[in-house]
Amino acid sequence: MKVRGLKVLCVTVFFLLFSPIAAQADISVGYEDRGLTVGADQWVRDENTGQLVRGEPGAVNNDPNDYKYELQCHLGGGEFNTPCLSTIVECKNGPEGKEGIPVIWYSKPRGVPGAVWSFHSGPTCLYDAKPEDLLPRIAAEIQKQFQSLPIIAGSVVAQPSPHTLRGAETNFYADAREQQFDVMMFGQKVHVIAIPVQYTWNYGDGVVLGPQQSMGGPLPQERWGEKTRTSHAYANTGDFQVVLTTSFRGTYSVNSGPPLPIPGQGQFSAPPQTISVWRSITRNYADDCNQNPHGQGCPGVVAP
Amino acid sequence: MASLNVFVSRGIRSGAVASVIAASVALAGCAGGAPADPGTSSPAASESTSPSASPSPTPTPSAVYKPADASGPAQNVPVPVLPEVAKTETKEGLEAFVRYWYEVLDYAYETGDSQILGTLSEASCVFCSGLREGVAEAWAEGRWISGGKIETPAITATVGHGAQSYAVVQVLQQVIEIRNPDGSLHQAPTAATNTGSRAAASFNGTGWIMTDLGLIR
Repeated sequence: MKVRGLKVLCVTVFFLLFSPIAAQADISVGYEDRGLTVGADQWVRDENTGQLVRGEPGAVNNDPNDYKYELQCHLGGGEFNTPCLSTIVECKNGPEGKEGIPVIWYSKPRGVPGAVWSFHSGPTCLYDAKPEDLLPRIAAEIQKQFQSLPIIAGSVVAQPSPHTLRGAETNFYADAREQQFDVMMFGQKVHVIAIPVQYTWNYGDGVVLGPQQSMGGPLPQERWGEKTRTSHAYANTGDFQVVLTTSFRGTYSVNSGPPLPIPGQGQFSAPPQTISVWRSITRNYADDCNQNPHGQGCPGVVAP
Repeated sequence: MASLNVFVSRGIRSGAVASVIAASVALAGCAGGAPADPGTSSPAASESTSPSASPSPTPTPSAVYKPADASGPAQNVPVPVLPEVAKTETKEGLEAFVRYWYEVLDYAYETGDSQILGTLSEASCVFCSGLREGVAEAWAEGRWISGGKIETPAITATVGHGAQSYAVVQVLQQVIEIRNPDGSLHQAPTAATNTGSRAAASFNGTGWIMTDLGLIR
């Protein structure tokens, strides 16, 4: 008895000593990392007043940085860093067999007066006769390009469906996902990532919800009829066309450079989904159909 | 080498700032004569290394600053000094205080000692405590940090005079490596960052204290 107790104790001590080491996660030690981990206040520069204002919780964050690139080993003017030239990256066999120029990407935080640039990534290649003004040309076109991508707004699910009841909460939710595309622009391989950020529900009866940040979620069948953030109760019967419009935020990266924000958001709509709204009538009867075969709902009896 | 580390961290945990400084002075003297550390045992190395790299006064003239690497933590790290102007309730004063605060944060990364940082930050500053905890976690169990140098090339302060005083700061941090006691990497290095911050501080009559630190996104 005594011995058994001791064994259990030993095992417990063993676990206490060794289990925390086995379950070690990465330490969030970096300045920015730690700030995001502990939920430090987030501030954004108001575009109109130029003042820093608190970011609203759950607001859609844009990339906080500005980016630029410089030719690798270039010191400005006609000067090049000679030791660096031995490490220069070869940019051959670009799209369409072109030769390219290696560049280093730099970033700096937007909204900090006098901020200096620091190394971000690279070297990566640009394939253009005039790489200096390549980025502005792509930047000017990227939004149009973004809007024309075959981005899928997401699938729409209604609970219950395809029939629901007048006055009852019908739960709608979307399944929208991040999507990635590779396109060619000005002879460069541009990689676009589209991230769903906001949703607008047009329920087809004149009621529109959003844009808002919830894409909703499924309810287990026993909870159908409950009100959710994206549910809707139809006031009338009939067939309604439900349309989901999803707003996507995008980033693009040129030949594996850093992901740059695409200004604005792209709006994409899902194909309309038809929902039939029925009414329900409840009648109570004292007899069953054996006792009263002419009662409402019994076989062969015409509804009133 | 290893015994040196244990002594430093003990002194930090138990004592006040003064005791830490005293400890580091004692250590500095100790390190000057002791050939214990294979990384700096060569007298030629200590002669050729110039102490002019650090603007702040070193504890003793003989103590040579050595940055951290895979062989061990930084040695004889100069303690940042609060400039006189940082004790005034002016734009220049707040900018000097914020610059000093980040020097002390850098000192914490480099030494594992975030005691001074604690005295400069209010307990309500969530980000401040978070940084101190991050440093403590990294330095636990005989580990140390190499890299992670912090610089603040741009600081612009606004003194509130009634409203909240704050500074907008650019915070650059170099790649951070956490080293295990055997010198191996504890985890993948944390990439360098270039971040905008908003640092709010209040003046208590004799000096500034950090009250709220946030990120500009």
